[in-house]
Amino acid sequence: MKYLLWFFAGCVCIGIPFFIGYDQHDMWNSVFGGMIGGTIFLVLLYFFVVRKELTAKWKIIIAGLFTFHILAFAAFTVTSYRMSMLQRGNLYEVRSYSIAMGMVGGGIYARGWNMLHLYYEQPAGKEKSFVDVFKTYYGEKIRNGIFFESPNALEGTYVTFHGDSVVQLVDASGDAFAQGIRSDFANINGLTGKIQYTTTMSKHGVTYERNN
Amino acid sequence: MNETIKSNAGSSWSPFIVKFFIGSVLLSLMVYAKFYLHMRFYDIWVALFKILSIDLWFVGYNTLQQALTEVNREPIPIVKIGTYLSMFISFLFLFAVNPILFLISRKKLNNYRLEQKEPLAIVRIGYFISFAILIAIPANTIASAIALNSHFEYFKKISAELKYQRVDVKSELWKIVFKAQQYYILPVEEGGGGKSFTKNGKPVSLNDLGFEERTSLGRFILYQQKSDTTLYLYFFGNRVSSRFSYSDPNIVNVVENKVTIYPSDFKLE
Repeated sequence: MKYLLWFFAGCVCIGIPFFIGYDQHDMWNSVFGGMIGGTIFLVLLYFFVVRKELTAKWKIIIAGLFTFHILAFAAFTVTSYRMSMLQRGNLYEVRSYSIAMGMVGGGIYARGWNMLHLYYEQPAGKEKSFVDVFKTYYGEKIRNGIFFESPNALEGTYVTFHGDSVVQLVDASGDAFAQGIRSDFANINGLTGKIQYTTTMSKHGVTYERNN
Repeated sequence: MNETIKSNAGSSWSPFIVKFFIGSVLLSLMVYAKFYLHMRFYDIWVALFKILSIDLWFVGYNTLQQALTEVNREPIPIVKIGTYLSMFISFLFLFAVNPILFLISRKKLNNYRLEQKEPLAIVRIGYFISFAILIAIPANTIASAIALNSHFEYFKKISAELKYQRVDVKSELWKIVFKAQQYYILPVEEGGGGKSFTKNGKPVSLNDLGFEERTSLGRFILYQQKSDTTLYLYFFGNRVSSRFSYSDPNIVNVVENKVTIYPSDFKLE
């Protein structure tokens, strides 16, 4: 009967921290809760049962077994947790890199190259200023100072004209995973800590700067 | 040898308790199999493995699966209550049921010894199984932890190498490619090549484009062959590639890339 009570004590000891940590999406709190509860239970079992009821030799053996048991599972739990967090972190980083690379390779570089090409391919005698060329080709895509690559695009590029010779474009990502260099950086789109690039274009060339 | 054997002769507990615990273990396994393995009772080894390892592999897999869903901007799936329950049973079995079973059977064997009786088979079996679990499972678990830890360092290394290869090197290559294409478009009076990748009759160099040949990432070489409308950019990294040859692990690959630059396009190899 006594052992049946110990079994119920085990259910309580492990169950409470295990289910307190319940999260619909993340099981790690429960795993750590279970580990802590299990450890407490084994310690109690040792002090209240093993020490009182078994011989000196078995006290030592069981102390060793319980310690080994606790240490092994603690090591495996912590290592598994570290590994999971590393893999998850890597995944977030890869996503962030792909956003940054996509912004540069997919849009910013192509746009700069295209503008220079359009400007220098103008028919002789009918040359327009750099800003006018930009407006001619991209003007319809600008709404309230924001340039949208496609009508359905969710994110736009902030456009500023300096005279008729310089166009400045600021691209800031709104993606949750697009973490920039500084987490406190105030982005042009009102968000904080996101990747942001500034492109300055003129007939002299195109320069890029990563703001965050 | 003054060891005293504490007897529990005359106590109220009986082989029924031992049977009860063995029964609970079997019942736990069945509940686990039903909840977690969806009635795949034939796959008992899988169930045993999962219950004896607290199925931390699954928790890790679940974390990664959820992260994948998250980055794909899909709703994160909810962990089934059955999964939680089966994990709780694992903890209960490993930290409570099995140690208690071990203590009961150990004490029972002591009593049989004092009473000079032949132990019941069920007590012996219970003792050996619980003892084996108490030794073998932590041994296996600690071996898994060590193996996982070595993988951790390896994954960290791979992650750094991937960033180097896919982000740092690639963005530097893109910068050079774009600068070269810009040079091609810009007229000579604006410091460009005027629809040519040459400068003063010679192929444009990395210095002309504002880059160094040797950088912290590795060595970049820009060269031209016959046509003045095509450039070749070669990169030799200063790190070993994460590509691994299973046929010969001793073969190491240095990170290298070749880019063919055209006036309005480029090809990365």
